[in-house]
Order: sequence, then C-alpha cells, then structure tokens
Amino acid sequence: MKGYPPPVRRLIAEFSKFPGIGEKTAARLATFVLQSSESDMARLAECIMDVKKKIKICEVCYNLTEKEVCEICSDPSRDKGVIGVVEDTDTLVAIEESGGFHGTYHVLHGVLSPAEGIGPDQLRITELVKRIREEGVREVFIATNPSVQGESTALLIKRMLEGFPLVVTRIGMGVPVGGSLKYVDKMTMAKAIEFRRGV
Amino acid sequence: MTGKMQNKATGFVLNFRDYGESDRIVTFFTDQTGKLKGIAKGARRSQKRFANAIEPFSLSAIIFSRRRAEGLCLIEDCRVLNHFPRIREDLEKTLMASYFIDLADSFTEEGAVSHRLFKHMSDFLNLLEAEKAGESIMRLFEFRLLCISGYEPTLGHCISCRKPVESLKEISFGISDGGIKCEKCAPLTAGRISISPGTARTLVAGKNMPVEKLRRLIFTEYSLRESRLFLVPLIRHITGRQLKSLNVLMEVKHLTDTI
Repeated sequence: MKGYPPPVRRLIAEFSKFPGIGEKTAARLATFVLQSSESDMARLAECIMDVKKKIKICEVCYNLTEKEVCEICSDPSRDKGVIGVVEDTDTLVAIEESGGFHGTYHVLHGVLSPAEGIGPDQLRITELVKRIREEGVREVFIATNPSVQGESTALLIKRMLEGFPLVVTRIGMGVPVGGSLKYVDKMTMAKAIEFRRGV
Repeated sequence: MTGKMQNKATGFVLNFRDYGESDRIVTFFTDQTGKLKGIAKGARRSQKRFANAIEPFSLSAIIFSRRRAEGLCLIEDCRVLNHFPRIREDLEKTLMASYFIDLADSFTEEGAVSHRLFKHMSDFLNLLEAEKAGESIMRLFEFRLLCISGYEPTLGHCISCRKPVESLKEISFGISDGGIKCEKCAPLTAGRISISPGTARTLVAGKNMPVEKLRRLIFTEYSLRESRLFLVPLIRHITGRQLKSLNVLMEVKHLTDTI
C-alpha cells in the first residue's frame, strides 16, 4: 500500500480494523470514499459520530437506545408481563422483524462460554432476576441460540428462576418453514420431534 | 493435480472461533491425527456441510485437506456422529464436558497422535452422558489425563523413602515434587498439601479401572475435597495458568448454590 498518499494509507489502516475486513477490502473502501462526493462522506462521518455520541444502553432491558429507556420498553402496547431473553441486539432485531412477539426484551450481551471464560458475572442475568422480582412478570421466553452455549445459558436462567410464580418457555426448534424433512440433520430432527405440537 | 490430498478423521471439537463473515476456525482432537486445526469455510451459514457438527465436545466425522504440511487445514465436510444430547440438556454436565475439552486442549500439541487420550475423552464423555455429573468423574478425568500425558503424580509410595502408601499414616503432596512424601521424609510445611492415604489409594485404584466399573469406586466428600486441593493446583502448575472453563464452572456453581 506504499503507493497511496499518507491520508489514504491511514484510512486503509482504520478500515482494516473492522471485523472481516482485510487490507485489500479496506483499500477498495478507501477508493470508494475518494470517489464519493464530499456531502455523502460528511453524512457518513456524522452518522458514525451520532452512533458513538447518542447511543446508550436501555436502563430496563439493556437494548440499544437514544433515550434512558428504549422505544420497546416505553411502548404502552407491549405486554410487560412477558420478557423475551436474547443474547444480543441482533437477535432482538431478528425477532422484532418477525412481528410475532409482543412482549418486552432482556438483552444478556453474551452467553455462557467456558472456553472464552465468559461466566454469569459477565452477563445481565442477575439484572434479569431483579427485574422479574420487581415487575410482576408472567412469562420468561428464552430465545438464546440452540447451540451448546445458548442451551447452557437457558438452563442457567431456568435454574435461577425456579421458585418464581411464572412460566419459563424456550424458543421452538426444528425444521425450517419451506424445508424438506429428508434433508434435515438428525439433531434438528430430534429437536423437531421433541418440540412437536397439537394441530 | 491440485497438490492437495483429502483425508478423513474422527474427532471431538475442542474449540472454535468465528472468522470473517461466515467461516470458523476449529480445533479437533482426532484419533488419527491428534490435534487438528482447520478452517471451515462458510460454516456459520452452511446447513448442509456443517449442520450442527461444530459444537463443543461433539464427536464428528471430518473430511479435510491441506496444501502444506503445517498451517491450517481446510475442513471440507463435517458430520456429527454424537452430540451427547444428555450432556447438552444438563447445565453441570455441559460445564464439566467443557472443562474436559479445555484440559485436553491444554495437554496436547498439534499433530501429536494419542489413541489413549482419544479413548480417555470418549470414555469420560460417554460416562458423563450416562451418569450423574458427580465431582468424582471430574477428579478421575484429571488424574487419568495426567497419567496419559506423562505427568502422573506419584501416589503409590513416598517419593523419598519409597515406602508404599498402604504402610503410611500421614502423607503430604508437594506440587513441585509431583508426588507424596511420608511425615518422616517431609514434615507438613506451608508448601505441602496434606492428603490422607485413603484418598491416594482411591485415585491409584481408579487409574486403570475400566470406565464402566468406575461407579464402584467410592469417593467420600473428604477425599473429593482432598483430591481437588492437590489436582487443581498441580494442573495449574503444569499448564502455567488456571483454565477459563474451570473458573466458569466454579462461578456457576457458586451462583446456583446461593439460590
């Protein structure tokens, strides 16, 4: 990258810090910046700074928000008696996009991961228990991934909620809509049978 | 000629990490090639080639290739043979299995084949799948792993006077010695861990016992505590660090005990 002038080299170096971006992709992005209009790039820079300055964590559910309390938590039409527990904000967005959940959320910001040394102290589990104790929740819907880490996190939450007068539910697992049963792996098939329901 | 050869192996997933947009770098412990590190291209998206196969402690059939003798291999296909469903649906068992693979990872070098270690992992994961997650399974896994890896602590006799443990009344374990000493050879000082001869004898008895008979081996609460008090520091001494998975296991235990 020696052929580029120093400001472009610095930009490439900054882009290279992004996840999944190597030096060549960073150089392509830098070229795009060079070719774009000044107003477009000013808008991009403003967006980046807005995100850094304005976005904080919701003090109720730990979702991303511009205010003290996020839009979902302050929406009177949401069912506050049901809490959907998710690993991260990306999962929250995916569930919101489905339009199938009308409760509120609790974002853990991670899952149990023994290999990486991530234990319950690094997750927002005690905050969840405190919230349940204070808010009179009827149902906790655990929507962590169906992986070893996601499952063990769900088991820990279930254990911690034993004795509370509420229902703990787990997100359904099984064959994807529009999929073909004969191509489903045996583990997914076993889960689909376990999670079968009446019709 | 492409210059790459396709190989097959059967292995346990020791760990993995996401790489780039959709790839995963995976470490297996295989029966055929020992510890094997490779890149699984598109593993986070492909439901066909890697469906559920790259999960901690799962046993998988792997097809891989490599262009060079060293460096990452290319994981071309991975099919799960056993995902240990009973372990996965139990919090304590999952944490214990995670500790087992973390230990196995710490005691192995890439490419070093050990059929004994592979069998050891297979035996104990199957034992955990079938039995309650008792602490004795954990201590025996640690002790037998140390024996297989060449770090066997000497528990059968005093390492100074060589008197058999059966004839001794008071013994202590020295981490840097890697063995027991009787009270005459080494008085109990700050650096030594007091253990009872019964604890040493129980562990020695469990060294070569067939895994299906291990449930007959009775550890008292006292001998479990004593075993923990010297095996965990010994492992920390050998590996040079406290394993993260053990910290998480203890953190969860502390949390669930206080409920």
